[in-house]
Amino acid sequence: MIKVSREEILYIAKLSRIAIHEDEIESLVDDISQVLNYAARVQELAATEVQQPVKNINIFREDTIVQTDPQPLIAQAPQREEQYYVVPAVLDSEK
Amino acid sequence: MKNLAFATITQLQDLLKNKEISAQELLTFYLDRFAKYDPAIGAALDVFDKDSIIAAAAKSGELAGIPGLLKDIIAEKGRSLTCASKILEGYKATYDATSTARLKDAGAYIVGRANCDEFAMGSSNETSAYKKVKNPWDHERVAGGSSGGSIAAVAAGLVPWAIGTDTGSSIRQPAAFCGVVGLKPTYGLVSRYGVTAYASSLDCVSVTARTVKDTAKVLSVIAGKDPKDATSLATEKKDYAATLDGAIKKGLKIGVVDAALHAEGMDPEIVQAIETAIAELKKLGARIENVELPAFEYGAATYFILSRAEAASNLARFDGVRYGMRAKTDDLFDMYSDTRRDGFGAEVKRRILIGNYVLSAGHADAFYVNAKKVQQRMRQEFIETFKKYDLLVLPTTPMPAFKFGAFDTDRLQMDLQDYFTCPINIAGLPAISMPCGFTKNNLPIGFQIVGSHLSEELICQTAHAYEQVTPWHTMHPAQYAE
Repeated sequence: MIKVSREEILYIAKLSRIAIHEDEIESLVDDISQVLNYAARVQELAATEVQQPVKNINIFREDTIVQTDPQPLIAQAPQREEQYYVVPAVLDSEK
Repeated sequence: MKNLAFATITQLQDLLKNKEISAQELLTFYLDRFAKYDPAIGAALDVFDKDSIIAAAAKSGELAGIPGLLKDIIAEKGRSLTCASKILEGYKATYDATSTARLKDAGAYIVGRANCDEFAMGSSNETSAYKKVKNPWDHERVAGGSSGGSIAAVAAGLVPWAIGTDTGSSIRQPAAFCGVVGLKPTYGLVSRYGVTAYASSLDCVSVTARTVKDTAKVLSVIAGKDPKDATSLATEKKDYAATLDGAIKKGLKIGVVDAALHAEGMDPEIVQAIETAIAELKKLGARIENVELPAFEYGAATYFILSRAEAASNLARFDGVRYGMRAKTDDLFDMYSDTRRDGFGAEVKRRILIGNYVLSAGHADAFYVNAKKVQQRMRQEFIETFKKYDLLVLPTTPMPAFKFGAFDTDRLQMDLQDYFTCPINIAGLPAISMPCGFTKNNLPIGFQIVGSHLSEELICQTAHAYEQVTPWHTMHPAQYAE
């Protein structure tokens, strides 16, 4: 039985950049453990399967320049200055 | 005016051609239906004004003047695109998806944005941040998901066709729940350019309509190679409706996945309806044999891992920096994580967490790598099976449409609604869900016809022949008849 710990949930939430409320943790532990327990059955079948090398092929297209106007997109930024996105200071926010 | 609510695209095209109705009148007719009926259903997140709908479409083309709906994860330039999520509230697409552009070029009227599960993650449309979609056959029940709005609009006669997507079940399961046709094409047949990514290796732009011919007509417009999507397949433009003559291919051999049809937990009324459908296919001349797919039962587990892993990566871009909502804070890390806490709904967050778990150091081998191995096995098993059979028959869902909140306390059972459909995505195959009857409670039942890669013509031909000898496509929810 896989039982994800509270610490693992908090760690994954940090990796995922999702803030979690204390009162959500318990139900997340249960829900995620339940899915992972079901999903773990892939190990049974995978044990007898040797992964073949993937035959990827490159799909090329002409490198043509298409003029697009970035303004309609930039104009939708939550905070901006001219054509720049503004975010909280990066250097003082180490966590 | 004659009631056109449930008219087929062909019938509407005849009326337009013979000038019995103008495209404007037709559009007004459907917009009026939205105004009258959709407040009770919740199929659309947005219905556009008449002039802008007409202005966006080419004047002529294969679908000229035929109104339809786009799922709200598919971009249409200048229109809102929220993916039924709060995190994108107010965002407007800055370009057309390839499917959108092709539909406009074909003269189709795109009348609005269809409601769906948030970022197409759900099997009931309950995860939409805006409103739930009600099943037109029973308002206490879900329409299914994630393309529930697209499907419900077609089932209630609000439009003759709609576009959805299908990553694990999302066009086929709601189609079965609402008694309409839902076609998930081969992976790569329809471009994903401009479609908000959920699980990129599984996502398929898909079509729903009330008949196979209508479905084929819409598919013909959107299918085909697109340089903007490197995974789109090099296929020629084709008229998928051209070969629908009511007959099935001579010597057609169909495999019935018996273990699926008689799986534990299958609703007996559904089993009976599908057995009757199989008997109809036999009467049409198909040779029917039982077939075993031993890896099939690993499909849902594989899907849970691969789809969540890809979702975790794809949804990393919603961070409050460039578009949509942003949480107010002075700290960059908090800005990301508070934005995502407030902007995403519970199901989306669960899937991102699971996805990052199965990809994280120490777990990736056990989950992600093994799921890729099982995917390889499943694909191979399907390919071998299609050397012996032209098509496969499977249930679409284990049960008919369920009541709202039915799975609130057992999310795994909700996820397992995809049990019969997601293995098809894992293998990249095309499949159609066809209406095949009703339960005693008057809820629609559907079944799947699955084919080998790029066998859409054969699937449509067979499904159409079945449709011609059965009445299900002529039955519509009574309260929307007027």
